[in-house]
Amino acid sequence: MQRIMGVELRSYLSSAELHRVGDVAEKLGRITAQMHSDGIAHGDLTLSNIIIDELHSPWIADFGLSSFTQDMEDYAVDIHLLERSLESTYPNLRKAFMASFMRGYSSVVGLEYAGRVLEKVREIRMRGRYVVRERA
Amino acid sequence: MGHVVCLGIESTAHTFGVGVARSDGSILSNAMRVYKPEKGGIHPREASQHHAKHALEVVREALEKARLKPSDIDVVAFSIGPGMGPCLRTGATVARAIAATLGKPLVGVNHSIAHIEVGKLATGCRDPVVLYVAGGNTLITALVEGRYRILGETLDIAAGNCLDSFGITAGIGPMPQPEIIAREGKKIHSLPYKVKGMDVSFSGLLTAAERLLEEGAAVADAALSITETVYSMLVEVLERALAYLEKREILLVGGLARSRRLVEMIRLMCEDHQAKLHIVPDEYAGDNGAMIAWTGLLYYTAGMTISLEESRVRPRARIDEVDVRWSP
Repeated sequence: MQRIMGVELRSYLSSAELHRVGDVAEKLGRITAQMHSDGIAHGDLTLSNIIIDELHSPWIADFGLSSFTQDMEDYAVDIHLLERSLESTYPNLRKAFMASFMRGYSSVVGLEYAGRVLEKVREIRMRGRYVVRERA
Repeated sequence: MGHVVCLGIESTAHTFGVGVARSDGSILSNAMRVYKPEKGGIHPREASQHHAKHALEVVREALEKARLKPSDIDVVAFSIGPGMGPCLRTGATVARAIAATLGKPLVGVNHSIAHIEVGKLATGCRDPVVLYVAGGNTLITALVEGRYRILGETLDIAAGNCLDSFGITAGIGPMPQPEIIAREGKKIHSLPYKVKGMDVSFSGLLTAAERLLEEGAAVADAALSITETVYSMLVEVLERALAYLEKREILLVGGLARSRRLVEMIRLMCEDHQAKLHIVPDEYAGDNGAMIAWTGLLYYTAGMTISLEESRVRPRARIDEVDVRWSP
């Protein structure tokens, strides 16, 4: 166990400068990709389970709902949930944040794999009621 | 006077409802006729024919109960979606006819938002996390920056639909029958529990519960198993949304708000979080015209009227596409 001095990403985003947000999102994308590459899905990847330390680096916390899995759907659920939680608290940040996040994500797993995960995220989103158009 | 009066028409599924609301927050009437299929679920065309047949008498009844003449109506509102196309079109046609005849403005109300707004009106809650559970919809939402944002929703069928279908297959009838029969259940069978983040999925659970019946499980046990599993899933995602948004109030709306067991489970969870639970009163829980009338007033005061040309129904309307301009 390690003690991390920092704040939840949720509150961090309420006051962060814009260039920091992109940077944090990209780093978060990288560590999320690393986690997925290690065969771990978090299961509850919301803004309140991510901690930003004093050096503006993200840490993923609270693995209570995580699982060892090779199913890409589980990884996609992580990303879907992150996007949902952004959308429900900082709707205006969602697009830019997710773009930076995916840049970081692809830099670890490669563009081709990241593309397949994103396709899965889209599929999950489309399973929701009445989703007619692409909203990403 | 000085108050605005709105006539609201609801016809998204089995209910044809007409309500009258006044801008001081009073509901003057809430009349309805409910289509009951002879067997199985709702047949959209039959339901719409039922609505067309009863439309006039329900409009009349709503006006009589409100003690108003047609000319006292200032605004006409109707459910524009989401819902079943043929049913929606019947309500929309009636609304257009009344608005055009009286020369009054027309408002197309999002059905899901109407469930929430009438819940807010009736309970007085201010800034809740909302669980909207009904026969056709299951979602968790909250008002953030001018829109109802979806935190979680069903990825296949609605919670109410799941329990209704189970009841019909089991031969006991739709809700509330499964919940009533469940009280005699003694054993809870394990069923698939599908929660993905804050989303839920019920179709696999329904299939598994129906298989239990085929395998000869007691109907009461199967009913107990399915209701407890569905409600547990709902409470889990609701709890997560509450913790995530750090809100202090929960509002439960939609037809399943009448479920005593679901309410009991949510109440326990609220106690743990020191959150206050608000439940829409039974008369406004299921689909009704009053909620459309009240929400129609909110739209109207925010300047959100539509022309006849813009009044095409939207069976797949989503809750998060409406700018909630009437709320601070």
